[in-house]
Amino acid sequence: MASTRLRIKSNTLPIRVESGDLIVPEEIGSKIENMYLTMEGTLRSVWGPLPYVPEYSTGGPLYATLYGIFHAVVGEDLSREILLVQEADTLKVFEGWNAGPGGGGTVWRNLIAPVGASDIKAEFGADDRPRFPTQFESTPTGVVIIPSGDNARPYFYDGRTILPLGYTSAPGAPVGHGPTTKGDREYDHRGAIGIPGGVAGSKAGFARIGSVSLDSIVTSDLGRLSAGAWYGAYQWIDIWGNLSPLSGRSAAVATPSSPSLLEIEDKRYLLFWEGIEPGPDGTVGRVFCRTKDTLNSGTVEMFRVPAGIVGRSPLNATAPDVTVQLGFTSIPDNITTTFPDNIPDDTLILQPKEVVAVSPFKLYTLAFGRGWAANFADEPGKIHPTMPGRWGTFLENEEIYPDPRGAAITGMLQVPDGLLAFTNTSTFLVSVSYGGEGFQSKTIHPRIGCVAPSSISMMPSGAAIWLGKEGFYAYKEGAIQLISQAIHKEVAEFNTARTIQATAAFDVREQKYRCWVPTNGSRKNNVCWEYDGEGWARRTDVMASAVCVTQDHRSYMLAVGEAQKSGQSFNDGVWLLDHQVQSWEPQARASIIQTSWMRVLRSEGRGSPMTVYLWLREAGSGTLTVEVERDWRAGIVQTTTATLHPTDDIPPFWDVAKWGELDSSGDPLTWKSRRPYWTRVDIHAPSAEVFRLKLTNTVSWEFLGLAFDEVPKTDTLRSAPK
Amino acid sequence: MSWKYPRAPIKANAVTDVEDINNALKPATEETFGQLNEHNWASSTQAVANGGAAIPITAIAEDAAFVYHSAGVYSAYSDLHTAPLNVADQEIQLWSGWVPLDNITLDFTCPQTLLWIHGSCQVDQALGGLFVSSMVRLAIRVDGQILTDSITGGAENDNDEVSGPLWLYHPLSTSFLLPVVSGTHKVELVFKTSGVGIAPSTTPVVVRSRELICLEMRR
Repeated sequence: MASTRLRIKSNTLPIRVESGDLIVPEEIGSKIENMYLTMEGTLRSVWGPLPYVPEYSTGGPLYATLYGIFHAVVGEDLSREILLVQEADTLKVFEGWNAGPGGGGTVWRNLIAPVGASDIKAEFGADDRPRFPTQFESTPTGVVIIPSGDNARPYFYDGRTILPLGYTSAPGAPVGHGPTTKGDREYDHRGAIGIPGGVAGSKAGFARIGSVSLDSIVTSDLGRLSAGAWYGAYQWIDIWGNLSPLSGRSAAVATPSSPSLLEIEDKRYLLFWEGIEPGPDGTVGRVFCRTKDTLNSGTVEMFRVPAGIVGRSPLNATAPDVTVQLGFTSIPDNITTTFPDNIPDDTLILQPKEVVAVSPFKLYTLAFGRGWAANFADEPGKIHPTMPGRWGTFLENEEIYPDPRGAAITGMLQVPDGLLAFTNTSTFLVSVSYGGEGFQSKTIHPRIGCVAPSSISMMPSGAAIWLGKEGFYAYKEGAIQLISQAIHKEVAEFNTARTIQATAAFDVREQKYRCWVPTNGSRKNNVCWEYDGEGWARRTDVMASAVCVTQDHRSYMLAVGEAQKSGQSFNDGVWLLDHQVQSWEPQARASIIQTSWMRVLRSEGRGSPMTVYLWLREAGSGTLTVEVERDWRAGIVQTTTATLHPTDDIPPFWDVAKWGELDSSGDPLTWKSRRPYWTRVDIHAPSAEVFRLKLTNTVSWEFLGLAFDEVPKTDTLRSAPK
Repeated sequence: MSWKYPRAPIKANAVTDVEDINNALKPATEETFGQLNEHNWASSTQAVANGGAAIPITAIAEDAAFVYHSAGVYSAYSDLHTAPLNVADQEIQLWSGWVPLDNITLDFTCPQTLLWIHGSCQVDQALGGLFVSSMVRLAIRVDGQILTDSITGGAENDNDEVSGPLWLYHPLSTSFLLPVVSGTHKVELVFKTSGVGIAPSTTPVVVRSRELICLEMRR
């Protein structure tokens, strides 16, 4: 045995991240699995998850396949907390702890379901084909939801009401009547004529519509009414202010010229509109629009009939005009189908918004105070902004096709310099147009794209991260960079047929980007890759089909997907990561730190690693398994163990130590933080070219670093044989 | 209230770790505005469960959040015209000077801290009637010093009806925030009577139920 004087000791290696490369610094491992980067900078074995709805005595809820989860806080004072999941073909909202059995309700209430109690009946066509997970976007007034499924369409939920987002169709055209078509007595409300069946002499008010031509030979206020023609149309408005497309124009309401001189004040017309359809659920009013007199005014444009009108008391012709405020729009209800129209042409000023119907789309995000929809069912390469603040109202001629070839949009993200839009193979930046009106897009990269919209997330550094075809990319300040070179070998194992379903979020406690991807032919997202801004590690505690971080003070990372309880098979559920309760013990899983091949750069001369020094933190009364591999072969040549606590200063253990006992120094036991310690194991890999250590445990342990010493054997005949 | 869960699990044969136990408790206590941590458990429960002796309150760590002291005397209402005084009642003579209220004085030792003192009592002058009753005042006295700003009650008939003879039955309460140095402190509730105007009152005042609370607000 070599004397310790001849040993060479390595540096202390604080391994935190992994790489698949053969030649890497010894501070980088070859596999870091299920290890959590603590706030103190150590690696601790991952614990949890726990079912978000606990399995108390009654047992927790059972779930079908889950495709999406989202948390948002909405409302004027941010008082409404919303947690949504998509389970198979239903969209559910979390009703709270006490809503379950005994609370008279259900913990997860159906918002949308194909059958049974729900707010909306619909079927998304959810199945296990590769698709985007459910897409959610939080707006100041509610959440835009695009379920995952074959025929899903967007919805909007504000915490109380869920409805389809915006309007998918235009209302039918109204029918208008003037005095000549509805009979002189009924609708020719000229002040002097009595109402049929009414009190003789009572007046119907003063009509205000009609173009006047004064007769030049008459000096009094007599004149003639010119022939005129008016057209009407309307649009619906819903509770969130979304507008429908404008209905078709009515047929013309034509009036003839008056045959003789009239007192103009008394003889103008009143129009009458009917056939104004009530809108679908959620409609709270109609915006009625009308042309001016198209024969005399010189314009055929539509104008919004104002909500407040100036009128005169019907009973007193000499009374001053009064302003009547009807409401937020010209027809502030969704019941009436008629509109008596006495709005003079000169109050028609504002033109209606030219809105297009909402066709189904798959992606939605916020930027520039607008919603941006993309990947439309009819035009997958289109992105279309909404009106500012009206999250389901899309105006005509504002759409953008970032990719000139029209490739489908596969993701969007707001970044400081604009809106990033991706296709599978390219990246674009949408920004405010140089002209100051509208938006323009420019190509950021013609070959790098994004394959999974839910893999896009933002790091605190301001870098956007996403999964592209070749691996993970980061975008910052106009430049795209591949950040997953170190794990290229593992990225090559991703199931590329299903990377479209990858899902990611940024964990605020561990300060890591976490992305779940299907690996090695898996149909589920079975491996989570974590990036801390410098390197990668992986975990396998949950197969997440979607994740989110709660937007309240808890900042919990919630995942839906499969996890395994001890002694059971995998089950779908809603999971809280990095927390654990006694009532749900996860199936034992290995947490692993595997070093890279060490002494690579001096492997031309052999060496015998003798002792490994492990810098751990007190964890328990058990042991850590240390496996040794050598000479580039993945076969284990030695297995040994190290205690998970110092043997010379044994700490108190739960369920063993008693209050009032003395510690090994003779002092009373007190509450303490667990302390780091060194331990060592002797390993046996004589005259190795390279060697590798794998530290494994299935219970809790915590790692700070390691070091080893070796005896060089450069003079053996086995070194670099001829 | 949001759902909150413990963080890392606490398991048999793991090393006892103060941070793990705090992380297990804090989620719940945060939501209820509690301040529970390893320093202020119910020490006796733990000791009994482990077969040990209870731990005296002095063993509580320096940085406990609050330490609570209180004393009170209860006296059921009775009509003093027809019934004798209750044992708990305290009779204060007219023109009394500052008299401590019996059986509610607090003596304790504390570190340098902020005291939040609340005192209250029920005054009964029914025996005297409107024209021969006293004006009354109540104050907090700490270590022999009256806290001037804690004096409540009245001295002038015209201005101070609430504590004056126009209200023969009434409660008085006062409170005060006072920083103190470390050491032993004595907190008393003191009471004083004086006559009405120039005419001396002829009957004493009876103080019935009374209570003194002192909260050490250590952080």
